[in-house]
Amino acid sequence: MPEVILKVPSSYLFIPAISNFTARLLREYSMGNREASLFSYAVEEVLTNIIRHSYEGKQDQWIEIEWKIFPERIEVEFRFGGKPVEIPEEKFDIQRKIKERKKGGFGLEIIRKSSDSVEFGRQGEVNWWRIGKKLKN
Amino acid sequence: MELKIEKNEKKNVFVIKPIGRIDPLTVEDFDEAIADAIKKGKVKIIIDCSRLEYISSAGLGVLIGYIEEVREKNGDIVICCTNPGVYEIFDLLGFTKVYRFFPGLDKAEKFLENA
Repeated sequence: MPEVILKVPSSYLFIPAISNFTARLLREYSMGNREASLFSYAVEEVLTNIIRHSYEGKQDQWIEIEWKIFPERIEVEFRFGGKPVEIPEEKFDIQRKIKERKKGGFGLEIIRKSSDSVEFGRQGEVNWWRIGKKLKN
Repeated sequence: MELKIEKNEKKNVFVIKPIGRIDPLTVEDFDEAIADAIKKGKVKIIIDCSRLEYISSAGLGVLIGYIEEVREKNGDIVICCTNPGVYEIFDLLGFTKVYRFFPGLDKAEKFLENA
């Protein structure tokens, strides 16, 4: 199983490069442009969420990212410190957001809609967040 | 990782053209551009995404934050989008159901001029 591991500072500066790498990797494994781009947006949003919420904007912390390629799917696992991941249960409703002028919650919806699986948890002091996408054979 | 914002006004339609990426590092500039326009009484606004490479959730949040305000003032925000990748993000979250999208600036301008 091919895998790539990268450890980066929790800085927004690294996000586009990580997203681009994800999209290119997926294209190498025969994923179409559209699906590869959408999944790379999910990667961007996970990283943004980690920096903004788990690290409360601190950009000098750490994030470890692991890409795992299985025969039928790709998984990207993010490991990081800071506060645990909290995902609200409420269903995404764009009309309600417009009415209430709420600017948040879009990132989680991008993650949910662009991924086939979303899991998260915490082991000791380390949080993890894993997103997956099926590969077409 | 830069965002350049061009602004242009034609008749009573104000065009905001973000060039580059709207992401957590640049979203404030985008927010300010829309807020300034509304503050100056410009409520018929086109977001010209023809040279937008990426819009993050933060950028989408900015758009949602102002749409009600301009509609209450008899205006609107419409989106001109020719980049399939960017359109995909808008469509994924349902923006294409609550905003008017146009493939070209001319049609968007005509729509708002007559609105």
